[in-house]
Amino acid sequence: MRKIGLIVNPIAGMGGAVGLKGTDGEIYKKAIKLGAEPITPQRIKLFLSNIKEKEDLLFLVAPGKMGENYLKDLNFDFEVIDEIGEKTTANDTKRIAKEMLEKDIELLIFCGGDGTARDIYDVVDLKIPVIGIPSGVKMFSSFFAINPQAAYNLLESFLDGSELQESEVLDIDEEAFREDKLDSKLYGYLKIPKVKQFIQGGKKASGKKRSEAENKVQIAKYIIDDMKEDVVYFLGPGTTVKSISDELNISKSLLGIDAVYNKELLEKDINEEKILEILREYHNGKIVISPIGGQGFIFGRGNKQFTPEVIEKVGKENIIVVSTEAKLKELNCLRVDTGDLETDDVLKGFIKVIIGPKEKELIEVK
Amino acid sequence: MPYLDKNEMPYPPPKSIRNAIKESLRHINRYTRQEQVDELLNVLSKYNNIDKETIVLSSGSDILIKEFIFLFSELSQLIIADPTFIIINNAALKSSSELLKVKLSEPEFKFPVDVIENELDKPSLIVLDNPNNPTGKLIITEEEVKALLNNENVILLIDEAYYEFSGITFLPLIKKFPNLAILRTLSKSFGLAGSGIGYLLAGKKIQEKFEGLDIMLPSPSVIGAISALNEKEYMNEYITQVNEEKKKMTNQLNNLGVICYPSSTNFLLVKTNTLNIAKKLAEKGVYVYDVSNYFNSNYIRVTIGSHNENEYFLQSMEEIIKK
Repeated sequence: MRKIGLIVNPIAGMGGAVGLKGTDGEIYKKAIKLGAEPITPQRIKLFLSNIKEKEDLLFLVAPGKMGENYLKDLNFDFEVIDEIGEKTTANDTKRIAKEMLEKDIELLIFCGGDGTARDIYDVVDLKIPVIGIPSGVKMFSSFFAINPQAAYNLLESFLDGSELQESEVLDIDEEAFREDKLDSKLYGYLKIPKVKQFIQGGKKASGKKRSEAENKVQIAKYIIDDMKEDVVYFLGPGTTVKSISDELNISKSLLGIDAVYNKELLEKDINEEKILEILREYHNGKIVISPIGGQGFIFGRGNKQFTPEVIEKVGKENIIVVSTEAKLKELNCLRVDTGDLETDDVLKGFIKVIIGPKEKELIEVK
Repeated sequence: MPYLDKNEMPYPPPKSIRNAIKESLRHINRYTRQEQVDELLNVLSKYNNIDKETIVLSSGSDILIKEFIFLFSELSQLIIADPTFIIINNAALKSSSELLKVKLSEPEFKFPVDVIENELDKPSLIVLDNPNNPTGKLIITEEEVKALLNNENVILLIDEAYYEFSGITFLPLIKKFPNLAILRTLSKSFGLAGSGIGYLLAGKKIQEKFEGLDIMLPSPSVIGAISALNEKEYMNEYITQVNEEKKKMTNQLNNLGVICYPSSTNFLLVKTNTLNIAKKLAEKGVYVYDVSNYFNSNYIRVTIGSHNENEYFLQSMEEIIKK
């Protein structure tokens, strides 16, 4: 039997229909007053109705409306984890996820939005893979399946023994979002199943076969070999950029920005003010960044410390974009949203992304 | 069981061609005679309206792509489109040159020549497929090709495997530009995929590089190619059928709510909302090409097959999408 966890956030997505942009914290009460109805049941039912081969699966499920209610009538084997009260909270999600981990689930499926994803991340981190069924209002995190059907396809791939890939969880400031400002930072990474290429035979992709992890190391080595003396390298967030620090044997803040000078750590987890101070002192700087998976943002999501002023001081020609081949193939273009239209315009146009040793991809920034 | 994954003609070429191939088997104990190769060069020269000295024959165009990239790999950079024909991609990855892939963005999938011109300050080999596989789009115009060729740093190879479907070729330019080579095949529009005859068309400067490259051509393939080029009416009929079926398929796919990109070839690039779509179709006995090495797994490349095959494919698509 494959042990799969299932947690549903019953209130996720309720804010959308009544124009509230999210239900984090106390806002969901307002949503209910405005007549919002749960959209999660239809999402989760749609997902579950796709699963035909039920006999090999054992669901460890959150109680009542957090999961149990949807499985009850569908002839699945399941075990209910813990108890919940009338009103459910983020703490319920975290506590139940933790218990499921202790009971050795191999995959956790959850239904919710960015807020739920953060709660799941707080507990699961990169320990086991997850599948996110989208039902929230805010779903900027790239790891969400595009719809319940696609979430089922990911489950299918997982059960089929697919590879896993890391994908970003974003933290969007709901208050700001309600005022039509998008303020986000990178919250962390979750592992998701990767859909395998299906080839009947004949001409296949070959050449440099490499895993995501190998590709990151290749990129890191290339960047390090190319590092100039007396230039400060501002390493942005994310695991691709972090691999550069790993190869240099220096500790890196996964979600923050670190400064590296002559292959040594200069400052860790720095803000705009500190970056500008370093630039005043050392004069020459380069920014190393990686696009956000699925969305392609290189500035404005997850790395707000690189403000328009920082970008202007460093100069477009000193921006180094790195990406694994797998992440880049899913992007039609790169994007910028620095909050300053002039800076965005300077950054727009084609840019070279380093995807491997002696390999670059020219892609448009929009 | 429809095989719509390799852009093949869905039925065999006419009986007369098959008979010519069959007849050639009586001499299969012998190497291909030079007169037969010369005759193939003559008919190709006539078909392309070009001197036979410009033709390099090969047992399939895949070999020519690999050889071309190998021969010019001393150039400091290699530029290809992304996506591109898988053989171009694979050969480029094995080359020792610096590789610059150029993303063709949806929905136009154009090769951004104005941007590339800024990258040509060093010797560069550019390899493009036009129409492009798997998008089915013409990605570069004649004016843009000329702009690239006017740069002395450039050697340009254009794979025109689907020329007969698109009707667009840059072949006349090889007389003026010694840095241009065109690649063709009889595997697609002539329906000789199993026979594997490809050829390169280029001026003297490029031809010289291929001197000494003696590729043995199987005699049944040579005989089949000569026969096919002498009876090319069937090829024109096939193209007419492809165009009619393509129109119908595009309409029906659009009605299903999936995105179907306009194509200048005998295949369509289709974007759905269903992951693993190629696998799901295979489970229903329909084989299409999974392009998830370039896109997500919700994209497929589907060959325009026979009317019945196309109907079966559309019915399967509907069942999967409306499930």
